[in-house]
Formats: sequence, C-alpha cells, structure tokens
Amino acid sequence: MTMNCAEWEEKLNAELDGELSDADRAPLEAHLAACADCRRTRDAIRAQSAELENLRFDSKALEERIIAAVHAETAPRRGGFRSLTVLTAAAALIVVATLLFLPPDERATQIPRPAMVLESATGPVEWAYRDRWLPFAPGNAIDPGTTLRTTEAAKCEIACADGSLLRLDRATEVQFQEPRRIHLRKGQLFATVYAGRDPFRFTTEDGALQTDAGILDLSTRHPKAVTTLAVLAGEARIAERPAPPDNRCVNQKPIERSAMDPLLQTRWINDLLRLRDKNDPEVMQRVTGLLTRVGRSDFYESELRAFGERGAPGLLSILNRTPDSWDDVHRRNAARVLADVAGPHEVESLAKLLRDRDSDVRNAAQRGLVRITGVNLKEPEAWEAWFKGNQDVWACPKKE
Amino acid sequence: MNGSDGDLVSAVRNGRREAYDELVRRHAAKIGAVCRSRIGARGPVEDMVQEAFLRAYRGLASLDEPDKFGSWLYGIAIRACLDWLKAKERGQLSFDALGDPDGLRRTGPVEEPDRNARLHDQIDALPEPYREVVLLFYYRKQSYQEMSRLLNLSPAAINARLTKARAMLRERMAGAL
Repeated sequence: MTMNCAEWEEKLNAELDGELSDADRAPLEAHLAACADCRRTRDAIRAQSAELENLRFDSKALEERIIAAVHAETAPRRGGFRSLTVLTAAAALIVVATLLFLPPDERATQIPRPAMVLESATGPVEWAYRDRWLPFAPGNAIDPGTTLRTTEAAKCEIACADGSLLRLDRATEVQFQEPRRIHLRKGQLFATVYAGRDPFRFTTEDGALQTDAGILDLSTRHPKAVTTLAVLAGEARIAERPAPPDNRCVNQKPIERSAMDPLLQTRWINDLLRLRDKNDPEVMQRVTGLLTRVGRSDFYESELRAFGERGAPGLLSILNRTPDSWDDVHRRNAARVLADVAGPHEVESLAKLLRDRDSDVRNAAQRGLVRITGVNLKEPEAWEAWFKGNQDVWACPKKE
Repeated sequence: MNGSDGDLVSAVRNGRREAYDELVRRHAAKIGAVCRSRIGARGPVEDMVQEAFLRAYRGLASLDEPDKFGSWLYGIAIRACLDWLKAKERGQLSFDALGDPDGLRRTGPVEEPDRNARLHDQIDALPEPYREVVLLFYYRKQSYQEMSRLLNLSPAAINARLTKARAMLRERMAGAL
C-alpha cells in the first residue's frame, strides 16, 4: 500500500513527539529522501513545535496552592436538613407539622448556596454532557437543565437550597428542570419536600404530580412507564386532584396495596442512611420503625441488623426511654439485636442495662458486654467496677 | 510518594491525606490543560483547576475504580468549567475578582509578545478536540498512551488529532501575519 503525503505527515508528527514505531522509521526516512514537500513539512513542524514548547505550564505554584486549599478543607459540606423522615404515624405528624409551619427563614442556611447539590453517593453518579455521560462528584452544584443518572451500583442524595432532600435509587435518571421541578425518566426517587413559594412538581412519562410539602416515594419503571406513588407524609396532588396520603398510580389507575408498608416501599434508602452518623435522627427513626415491625417478617429484622453498630443509638433510645412507653416485646427485641450489633462505644450503656427491670434485657446486655469486651463477669456491681477501672479504653467519647 | 493513582486514592481514603498531595502534583498540569482548553487562556484557569481538585477530594469516597482517578478528575474538571461558563453567562461572576487575568504561568523566554498572544488566540480558536490535545501535549508532555487513556481515544487518533491541530495552527498563524 502506498501512503500519500498527508499520511506521512502523521508519521512526521509521531517522530517529532517521540512516538514513531521502529517499523515506521526506515520507510519514513526513505520517503523523506524522495519527497521535498514532506521535508518542508518536517521543517515547519519542528519550527512550530519549538514555539509551542513555550506553552509549557509550570504548575508548581498552582500545585502548592491546591494542596494548601485541600488541607484547609474541613468536613464535607452538609446541608441542614438531615433530621427529617417519616416512618411511623406519630413521627409523620411531627414532621409534617415541621414541614408545613417552619418559617422559611429558619429553614434556609445563611450562606447562599446552589439550588441543588449532590450531597453524597454510594457509587458512580453521571451527568449528561453532549452525547456522553461523565462522572459527577459529590459537592457539585446541579444546574437547572442537568440530567443525572445513578449507575447500577450507586444511590445518591441531593440537597436543595430550600431544605428539601431528594434521594435517587440505583439505575435512576432524573432531569432537574428548575428548582422544585423534577422529571423522573426512570427509576425511583424519595423526596422530602419543604414548603416553598411554589409547589414542588414531579413529572414522569405517565403524568405529573405536585406537593407543597411532604414526603413521597415515586417509582417509574421504563419502558413500561408504570409509575407508582407513595405519599408517606403531607399531601400530593396528581394532576389537579388531591390524593390522600396513600398509594395511587399517576394515571389514576389504582395499584395493589400489597407490600406498600412505607418501610418496605422505601427500603432502598437504607443504604444511604447507613452512610450517616449513627446519631442522625433519621437513622434512629428508621431503626425504631423497623423494630416495631420485627416479627411480622424476617425482612424487618435483617434490615435492622444491616444497620450494624449504627443502629445502636436507636435501639438504646427505646430501652432507655423514660417513662418507659415501649411494650416489653419491643424492648426485648431491641436488647436482643443490640447485644449482637453494639460496638465499643455502647459498653457503658450496656452496663447500665444490667440493672434493667426486665431479665431478658439484662441477659442480652450481659451477652453484648461479653462479646465486645471479652470479659465475663456476672453481677452488675462487678461490671460497674470493671468499667470504672477501664474507662480510658471503653468510655464513649463525649459529643461535641 | 510512590504507587499508582489507585494506591494513592486508597491511602487518602484510609486517612493519609498527604497522599492526595501527590495526586495533585501528578495531575495539576494536565487538568490545567483541560481547563485552559475549556475556558480559554483568559479565564480563571487556576481557580478551575483548584475547584476540580477540591470537588474530587470531597467526592473521593464515591470513586468506584480508584485506578481511574485521572479520567474521573477529568470529568470533574470539565464540569467545574461548565459551571463557571454558565455562571458567567448569567453574569454572576466578576472577572476582575478571579486571579491572574492571563490565567497561566508560562516558562521559557517571553519573546515577541504579540506573536505569543496570537498563538494563544489561535489555539483558543481551534475546535475543542484539537485544542485539547495541543494543550495536553504541550502543557506537560503527555505520551500518546497517557492522552489516549484520558480521552478514551486510540493512540493513532491522538496522533491524527495532533497532526491536524498543528497543521491548522500553522495555516492560521501564517494567515495572521
């Protein structure tokens, strides 16, 4: 095959860049010996390259500046919305009241921030850039018009400037049309919506709904585009008709109510909750919600246990509540799970439970202490004396 | 500090923040080229590079394949530049408030400032795929192999783009004289 001069020009560039293969070297030299045009091109490329070398970027000062900025970076940015969820009827009422009546000034942070920010993700999140999908990292602002998707391995949380919170399940694609206006192309989203000037509007291939404030779970499975809605708190209006806090299909086609326990419907958010601090109120609420259902199906206990040590504060909140408002079955379940999931920070709390009124709770606390510490003592007094002598190892760090 | 990008990412995740310093040193010039190609020599290139690294640091936990830190960072840098361009369109930014107006520090002799300025203008005027390879190559000499990994192109395609970019620049610089 004979190459033309345009093709030899690529070889000339490769030679200049130190990228010419050994196999091409001799043929190139032979061609140059015979072709005056290519010799001129080679000289022009060399002269040009000497000029372009002046572009060389001395990044030393910039590197030091970036390193200093990274060192100055403290905790990841966090919004102020984290204490909200609704998983039990009582909690629902409280949260709805909070959503509806908290004055806007108290909801907003003092620092202006983007309308939406990707707060956290369990795996890769991508945004549509021309005809490509590019990585989208937590901390990035989400501009109106942006389309984001979670991969099969990722779920994510998005914070809105109005305090609202959106969560996307795996394999979900959402277009953020403008603040408080979201189009769910496929997948599933969970939204905690605060009251704002305008209703929060969601659309899917099936239709539209809006809410002034509330907590809802919206799921659409492409390409069949069957959209289901669960309103966990507040009120959502499908098209122009109000929907009760219930499950309805967006096309006004009723769906079966089976398996529509809110904890079941929204079980997918547990992976995101597990990323949070164990004292996060939403984590504690979910833990207590799951606990009240232990015994109905194995799912609830396995989900509860999957929180691991993060579930301990929620379980302890049930066991330590004064006055004791939880029935004995729930308290015993809490103690039983706690004995298996509690960590070193719970040693002091477990030691206190050795004086609980319920022997099942006491026995579970004993079992947990032995598991964590490797020490096997019998009486509460012995444990208390042991703890006093080992506080430097086992005492729970004080909260800031 | 030695090791692959993946090793360094793992070290940062395990609490060794200084490992990120090495990632900065490895990638700053390359990301400078990317940002420069997206927002032009007169944009706040250094601010964008810093923003990209900060965003990457905050999001390091979400990086699924640590060995692909470079291409992941590349996407973040593009996003940071796009955010800036959008904010600029909305009139939310003051150019005066953002660093060195030339955006860059260059080494080498400062000769014929007019010709240098023309060269930068002509680079900025290249179509983006060509501008990108020129800047990646000359900011901090990247091998074809390194560029091909970053841009998801074959080394032959990198060679073809550089060839075309240089030819366009020669033609335009000759026409600008």
